[in-house]
Amino acid sequence: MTTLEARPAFYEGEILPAADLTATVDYARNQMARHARYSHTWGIVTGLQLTGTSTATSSGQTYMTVTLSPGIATDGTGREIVVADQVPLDPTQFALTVAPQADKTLQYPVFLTGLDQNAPAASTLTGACGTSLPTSIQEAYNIVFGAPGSDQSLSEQTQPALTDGPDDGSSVTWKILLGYVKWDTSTGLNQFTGVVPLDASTGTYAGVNAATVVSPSGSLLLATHPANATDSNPILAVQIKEASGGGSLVFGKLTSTGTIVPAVTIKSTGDVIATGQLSGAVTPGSVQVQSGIAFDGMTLPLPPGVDPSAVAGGTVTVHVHVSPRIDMPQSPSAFSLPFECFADPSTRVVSCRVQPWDFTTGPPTAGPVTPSHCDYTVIVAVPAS
Amino acid sequence: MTVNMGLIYLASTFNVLAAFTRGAEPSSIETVPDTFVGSGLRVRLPWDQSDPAFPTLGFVVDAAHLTFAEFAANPAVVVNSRNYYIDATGKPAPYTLAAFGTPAQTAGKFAFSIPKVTPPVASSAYLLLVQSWTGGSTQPVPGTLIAGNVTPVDLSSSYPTGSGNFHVLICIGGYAPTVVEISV
Repeated sequence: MTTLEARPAFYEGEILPAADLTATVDYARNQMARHARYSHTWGIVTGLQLTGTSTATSSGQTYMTVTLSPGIATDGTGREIVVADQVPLDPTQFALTVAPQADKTLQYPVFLTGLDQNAPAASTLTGACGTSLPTSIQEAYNIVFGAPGSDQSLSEQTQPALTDGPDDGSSVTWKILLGYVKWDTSTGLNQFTGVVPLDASTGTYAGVNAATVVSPSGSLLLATHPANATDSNPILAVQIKEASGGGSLVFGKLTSTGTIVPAVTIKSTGDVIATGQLSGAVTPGSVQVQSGIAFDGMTLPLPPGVDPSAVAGGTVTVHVHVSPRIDMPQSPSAFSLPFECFADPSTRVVSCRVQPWDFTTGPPTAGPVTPSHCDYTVIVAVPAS
Repeated sequence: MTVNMGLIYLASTFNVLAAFTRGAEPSSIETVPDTFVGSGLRVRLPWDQSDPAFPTLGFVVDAAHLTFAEFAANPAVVVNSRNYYIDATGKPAPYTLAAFGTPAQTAGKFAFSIPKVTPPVASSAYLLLVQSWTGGSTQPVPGTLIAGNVTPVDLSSSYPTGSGNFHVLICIGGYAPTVVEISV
């Protein structure tokens, strides 16, 4: 039987049970959760940064107090988790839930999970409204610690079924990594000794899952942080922007005013403007050269930056010149003359051999044909277009 | 500017088979010899032109048996690369051991013994490259680590029947490679 989503509807005079009223809330929540799960990717949306403050005991021993900044995350079930206030991490909870190891360099992951819990019943309601039953559900959260390496399996967490709403966190908890803490058992302080915040490579941040992104304004901007963010690294951005002359794609640093300082600009005409150097590419219309000494049987090396596939495909023209290199000691009894010296035009394999002659005897006698080396020049001409 | 030389040598026996220099170094140095050997490094040794086998003498050593390294250019090595091997320190060194003698073939069989005046260098191995006089592909025959003054080789199971003449390039660690002719 086909499962269909149902939307609450009411009629005049209807006596509304609590379940129908709850269903109106659940309908919207489930729809939002499915949107978050399938139109976006789960992770940290904003904030939720771990920071550590170095603290000392009266005897001078140092440790670290670690706090979590306010923020919002969306877990893999589509549940929104809101941490409204700055939260100190509890070292006592850490010691009870994780068995700290002697290695003080270990990093213990810190996770955020969501949990629904009944709010206390309102105590001000009286009469027919007086009740001990909860009239709201608190969308709470937990900060949990894990053993080193337990963050490696986060991508294996089980997604809910297609039509499910957000998980309530009671049976299954979806973990969102916040960062890492360190612990030194030798100090005896039972305090954190270090914190390792997330970065772009270690954190899972909320994203967009879309096959098409279309802008209504004629300009589309992708940036590593909001323009007004105070990040220690330069904020980078890519902008595609229409213009009466054709428009362009620009990559560069994003200023606090939201404009990009261009590092690379690609115009709609195909022109590329770069403020830096292009390495690894061969400029059309250029000539690339390689030269040196090579031994019999070798394949002559190409100039740097020339792609062997371009040579094989015939998109560049290769010119090869070799000449025998007679630099071994010569004498009338062992006078080396070139026997062969050429390079195969298609494979660039060198054939270079010499033959020593003895001119002290009459008539001159030839020695064994011997592989030798040659001077080579390889010139690659790149077509202008 | 430091000028480098590239040496292509056998990975199992460390015999240098080719050397080259280049004026323009790439931005990332190659770590495998494929760029310089194509489908295989052609190896020829000094041979008398009057020998009927002369036109076909030439082994093609697959890149799988080769390795590549760069060193500061040494003209003596570049122009005489076949006289060098890579020693235990990982640097090119000239052969010092006296060349091994002509292998004594067991009549009628593809079996022979390689006599050496001096035992091979430590941790050496041998590699045989076999090619028919009439040409064709090179058949590599890897050997195990060897010691002592005599190395017996028996390839009878590979060439059990028929007759023919073969070139065998014998590569032993610490010795200059030598080509011998085997008639079965």
